[in-house]
Amino acid sequence: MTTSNLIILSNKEHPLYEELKKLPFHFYDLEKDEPSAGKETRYQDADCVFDMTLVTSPIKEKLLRHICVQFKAPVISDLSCHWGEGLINQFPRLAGGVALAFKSPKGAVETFCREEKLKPFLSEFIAALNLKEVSVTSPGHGFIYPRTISMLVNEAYYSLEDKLAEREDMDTAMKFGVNYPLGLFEWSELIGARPISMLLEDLYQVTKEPRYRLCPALKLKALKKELQ
Amino acid sequence: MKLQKVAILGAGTMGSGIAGWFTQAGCIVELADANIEQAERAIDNLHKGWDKLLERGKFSEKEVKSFKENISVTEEFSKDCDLLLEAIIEDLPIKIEVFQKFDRHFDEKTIFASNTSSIPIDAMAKELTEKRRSQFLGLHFFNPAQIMKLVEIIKGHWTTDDLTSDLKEWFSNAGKKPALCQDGPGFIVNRLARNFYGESLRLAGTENKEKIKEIDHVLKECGGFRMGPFELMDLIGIDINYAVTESVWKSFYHEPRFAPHALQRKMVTSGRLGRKTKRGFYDYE
Repeated sequence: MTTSNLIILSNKEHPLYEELKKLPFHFYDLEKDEPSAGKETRYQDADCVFDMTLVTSPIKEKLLRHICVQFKAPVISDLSCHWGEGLINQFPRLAGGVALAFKSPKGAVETFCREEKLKPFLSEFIAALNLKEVSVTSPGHGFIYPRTISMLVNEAYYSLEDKLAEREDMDTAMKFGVNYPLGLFEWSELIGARPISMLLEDLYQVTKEPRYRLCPALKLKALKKELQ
Repeated sequence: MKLQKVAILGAGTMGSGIAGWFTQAGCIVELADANIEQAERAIDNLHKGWDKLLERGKFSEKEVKSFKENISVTEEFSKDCDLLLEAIIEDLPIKIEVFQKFDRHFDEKTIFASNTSSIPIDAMAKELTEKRRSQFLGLHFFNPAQIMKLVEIIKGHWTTDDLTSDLKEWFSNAGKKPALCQDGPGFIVNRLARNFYGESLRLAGTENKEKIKEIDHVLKECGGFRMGPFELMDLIGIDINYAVTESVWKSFYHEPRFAPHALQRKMVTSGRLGRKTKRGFYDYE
């Protein structure tokens, strides 16, 4: 089976960085590689560019602007932590998005693609990661799963700050009281504090709604991870 | 700790389920209700349920025989019960009246517990004698109580640490999954789960059937939730879910994280309450 000419751009902060590196596609770590610097021309003939970076929204915007100039190919970006709908409107070359930064307990990932002809490339990419694709009609702001789970995890951290209960008790309660597949602290370990805090901060920044205020304990956890 | 004799007050859905569970856990259970016929019906239904489980091989004949022998309807609880658990109407003055009456009736050693899901434990405990306050706590079961593993053990201001830790151990040994928490609005589950509904309602925004279906689908497929939030609200009753949301929101002084959504109110005011009215976020006809 021939693989398509897909280019993957990522950074170490992305939770699937190691898995992305191993895929049979052209991989560039944007923290050390400059895809357009060499004499290679494959990036010019790429079928699709997958921007799988985990960065803040101002950097993502800058990066997408840069990628859309550097590459002729359409771009699909990890928009888990961003206002995807806004970015899709802003960048005509941005053909779709994925919510790859939010690991799922069922090994599934939300995807959005506005160009029919690109869907096979997106499916090839997701299948190569051994994940199940769940297609949605809009990336919205943080898709559906990332946004909902982030709000649930944020509340678990607020409850911890309020000394409502120990983490283990809260996890027990959610698993055996409402049949959640994971406790919310287990879930935050699976996803990582960084993507959750980035999404909530972005939601707060864009909407100015106080309900999206990030719990300081979760922010601290994300910062610790960043410093590691 | 040993809980050998348990008094359950209230023979509605929760009370009878809890009574059934304690019986299955090996306790002698006395069940009472303001309406004695209600308590008799509850026991009759428990008997029928155990007979069915016997047919299915879930319990042995000997076990079912002992369950039936160990539960009874009473008009006056034995004074020496180890635990009194109340599962009556969610009305604070009525609960206080009942607990004060039983404070005088039961032995000093009897533990008092409320199965409330919304009333602060301390609001009931403060009305009791000092001795009883230290043995007063919340024991919040989940419906159906004989199946759902969780029991939230809610420690009030006066509840002793020894009591909560002993009860946690007892429930754990009896096959439940106990979770210990402090007295706060919604306790653990009804607080932490609020945004499963709240954020989904905001994602849907309006009554958009396709979007609602998509949200349910994604949260089941990616999140691994057994039911989507809209399916679950339809099952629970949109009015019930809305009332819990409002109660938690008000208890947190209108904290925006718990704010109800206009779509919930729209569904409730139009009488589309979910499965029970055959119309909710989905149609059931």
